[in-house]
Amino acid sequence: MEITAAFLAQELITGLTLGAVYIAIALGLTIVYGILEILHIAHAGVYVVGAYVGLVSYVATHSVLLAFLAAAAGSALVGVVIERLFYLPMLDKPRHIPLMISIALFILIEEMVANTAGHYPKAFQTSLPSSVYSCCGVLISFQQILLMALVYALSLAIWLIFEKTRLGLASKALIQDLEVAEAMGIETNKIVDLNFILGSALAGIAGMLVGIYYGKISPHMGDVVAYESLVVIVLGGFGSIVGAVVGGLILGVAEAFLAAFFSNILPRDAFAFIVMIVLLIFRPQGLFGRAE
Amino acid sequence: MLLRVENLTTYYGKIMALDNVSIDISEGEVVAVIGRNGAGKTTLLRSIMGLVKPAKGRILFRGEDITGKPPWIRAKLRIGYVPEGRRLFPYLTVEENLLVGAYTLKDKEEIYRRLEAVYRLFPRLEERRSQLARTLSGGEAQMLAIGRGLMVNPRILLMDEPSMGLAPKIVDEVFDTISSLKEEEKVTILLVEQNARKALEVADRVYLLDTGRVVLHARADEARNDLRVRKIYLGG
Repeated sequence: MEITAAFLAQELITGLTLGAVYIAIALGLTIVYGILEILHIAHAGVYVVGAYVGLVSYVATHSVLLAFLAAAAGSALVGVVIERLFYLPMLDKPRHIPLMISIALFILIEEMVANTAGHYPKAFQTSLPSSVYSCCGVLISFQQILLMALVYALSLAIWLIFEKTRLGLASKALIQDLEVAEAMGIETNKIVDLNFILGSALAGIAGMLVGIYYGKISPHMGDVVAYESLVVIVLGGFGSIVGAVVGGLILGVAEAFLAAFFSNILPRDAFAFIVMIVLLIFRPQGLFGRAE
Repeated sequence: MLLRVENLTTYYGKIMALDNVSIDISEGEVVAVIGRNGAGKTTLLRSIMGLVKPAKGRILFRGEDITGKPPWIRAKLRIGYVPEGRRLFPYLTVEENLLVGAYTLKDKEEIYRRLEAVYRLFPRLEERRSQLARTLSGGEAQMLAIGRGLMVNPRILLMDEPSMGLAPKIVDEVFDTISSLKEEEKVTILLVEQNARKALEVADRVYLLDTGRVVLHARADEARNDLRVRKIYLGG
């Protein structure tokens, strides 16, 4: 294998695209993890729901924009129902109880999707241009550009929401001391709802984006994602928005390069977990988390 | 009557923390609730704030029954709260902590005016406005907890053990602050304190709690001579 600048640039684009996929999923997860400190494994199920709602809506309307909105709305609804029915009532229970419930819900959602829509992958073809641009021997597709632009714009919007608005201030206060936050006039259940709505809507958009990008969706598309998005928020520090973005980028780029050089040794997905294990041993609070 | 607690009984797990407690406070008063550790003082304030649910009894604020209302509604009624152990938001800045205190205010101008007022009262907080709350000293942290409770321009300020864990000199500062809130700002204060001596210096009236019951209700100057109160003095 010859290593040229063009080869490295091509792998970098692959890595940044992969990173955008990770960010899209992990961003929502880090928001909902941060607000209740529950490992919301079912987030990957919410992501699958978003992909299917997106596909059904696209087939019905032939509008990518409307399909994105429907995917976001469908996922937001599922997310907030899970929060209200299973997480809020479990807040005073040990953390492994909502975690077990979350794992069960994830499998349940996947099986329900499979029963309704079929076990086999479905094609997700849209009218979006499939053009590929070439520059100095490096290829980039329209879909890659769309994916990255959308994910990085969403990341910025979410960061602004949490740094500059009342919702952001209330969320941070609630995370640090729920009881005092409520005594200061914050309607905590409403703030938790809004966080789940926002985080789950992002999962829905992510599900549909990944569907468009790979051209297909399946009921089990969330399986590896469930764990990989955990790697991203471990990497970034649980509950940190900037951490999820940087963690997603690092993971995507590292995976692309490691896979380019070592794919004969290990499958690509394995690298994420090696990174997570090493990081957890040496820096358990993540790259951006606070040591407590 | 600004606040009236009627026949309140509250359980803490299976233990009865408050046993048929009635207290009241009028506008402009400073009322102290004193008693030993575990007498039920904190539970009383937490019940008034809505953080624990009473088993029996009523809480009336300006004539309105608020017994079943969640804490955030009580905050909206402008009941200010300074919790036991300060409980600042450690990873928010000093100013953000104050802004959370003003969460129920919608008008930007008003929030700004309140911020100015609190900074006038505690200039040290203004110097440290962009520092994280966790970096403050004990005395500064207590000032911030009080400032946060004052942001809503409270109709009543509930203060839970503001002297707890502070050096004697800082305790004096905290009580000087309470006196000036009373004399200059005319803030109505319900003060829960283990430091009975200090509490009686600033209070108009006092309730003595013992194992969840009100065992004495008197004017502060009379209470100083009561034998049961003197015992608490000695016990710290």
